[in-house]
Amino acid sequence: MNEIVQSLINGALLGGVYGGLAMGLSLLLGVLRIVNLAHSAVLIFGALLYWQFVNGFGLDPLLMIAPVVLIAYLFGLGVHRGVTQYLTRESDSTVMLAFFGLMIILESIAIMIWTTDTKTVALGYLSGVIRIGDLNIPVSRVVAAAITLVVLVALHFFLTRTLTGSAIRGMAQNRDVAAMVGINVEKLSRRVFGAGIALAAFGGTVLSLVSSFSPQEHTRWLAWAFLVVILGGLGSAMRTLVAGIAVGIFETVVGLLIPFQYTYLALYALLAVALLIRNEGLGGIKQRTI
Amino acid sequence: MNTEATAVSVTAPELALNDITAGYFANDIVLESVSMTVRPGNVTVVLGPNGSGKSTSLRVMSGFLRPRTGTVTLDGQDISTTSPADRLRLGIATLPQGRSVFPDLSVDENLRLGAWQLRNDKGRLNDAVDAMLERYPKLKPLRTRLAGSLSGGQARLLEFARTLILEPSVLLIDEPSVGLAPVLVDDVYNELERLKDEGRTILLVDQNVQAAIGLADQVYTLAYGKNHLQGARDSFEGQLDDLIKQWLNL
Repeated sequence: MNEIVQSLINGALLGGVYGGLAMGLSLLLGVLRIVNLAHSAVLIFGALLYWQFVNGFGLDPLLMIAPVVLIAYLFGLGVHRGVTQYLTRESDSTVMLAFFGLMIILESIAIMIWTTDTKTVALGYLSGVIRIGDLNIPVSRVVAAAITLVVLVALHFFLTRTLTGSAIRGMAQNRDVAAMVGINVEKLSRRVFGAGIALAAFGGTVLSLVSSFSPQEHTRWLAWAFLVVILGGLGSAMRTLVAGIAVGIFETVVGLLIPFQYTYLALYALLAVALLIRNEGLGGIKQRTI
Repeated sequence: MNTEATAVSVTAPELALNDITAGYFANDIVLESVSMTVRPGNVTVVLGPNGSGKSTSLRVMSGFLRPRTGTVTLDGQDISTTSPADRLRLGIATLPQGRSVFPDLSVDENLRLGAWQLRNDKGRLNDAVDAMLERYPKLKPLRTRLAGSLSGGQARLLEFARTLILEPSVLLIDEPSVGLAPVLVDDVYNELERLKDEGRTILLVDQNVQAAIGLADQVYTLAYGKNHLQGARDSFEGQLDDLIKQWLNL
């Protein structure tokens, strides 16, 4: 019984982090219709930068999340100005090819700087364990899930309760009409793109608190992020969080029932089933826009 | 005409297309040397068969399509390269063809986005929304409804409200009755009549020839992307049947 409860807690905390690593992908797909194949490369780049700050320079693990996210945001603005803004009228395949190219570039730069070695962030004061009865809960997982929860709830309120949030959702629904009501869609698109890249890097930082990582293994996280986005749909930050938690619990519970090496197989099977029967997301409504 | 209407027409500027050539693709010309003037306080109607360039001329006026040659002027000032957002700031608002509400936003959010340019002045923004709800009281009980769940007539009202919320000096209206049930078409033309009575400056692109002519002060017709006929409404009244037959190749 304890083992099941432990798995559920671990899964829920891990799943919260999965919600965080998928949100950037969901935002860019929902608002800008961009399938960001470079999402996981940005995510791992963010994790490596975070690792550099914490392990390399010995800086505080909690305080270093914000600088990594800010750097990624500025990088996103630059990529939009240099590449993405020229792709708005191009076909989906051209856009995907461009982001595949970005993925290769980022991966190559990451390997040149940090090599292909697996990295683990030195958690310092986050490395403890909370003991409740027979349950052991790693502090780092609680912190990573809590930060993700705060970020996604804040994003949810920003998108649903502010005029700028309405403008972003409106732009996702009808870009031409958004321009007609006076919204500078180019400027807003650039900021949304920057936010999508920043969220990808944020996903990398929280992921690095709960898992080791390597520059060459990032595509695995791309599949995870797509799984969460497909399950949650493109509707909201909250549904992305719920879908992330569902994936986390599924992963840990399946890990109890079948040998570890088949866990990924079960997750990919879930991805295939989700694509087949629920291509509109768990929200149950056809919603291509955020 | 009431006092408010007079104020609107006196302050309205003159919008003009001057010798415009424009198209969507490099080797495709939709408008060729088209000129027209939208006079202050007048309803200017653009008529023509499908593909004659009516909606394209409206897109050039609203800034969504840049002309290759020629100029768009507002009171003589060249605004050919001015963005749609900046044209709205200059008082040129557009009501596009077909459904243009944001379907997954509430009626209230749609209205607030119409007043996006007042976003830094919440008091004025709230006043503008309230003014539109006073003007269109049928929208009041629908404020929290998603715009995508509105009926065709309700959605059209919301579109009118969103277009008028900034009190624009020039209204560009594209095919306002397209896609509406016949029973709702009269409501749309009644609203256009109300706007005309208020002395607003309007450019109306329409295929509903009889209804549009009924509203017009000035009429332009386009054929194959070029100016065809132009003049005051009275000069068209005897020619309408011939014109329609000509457009339909009868």
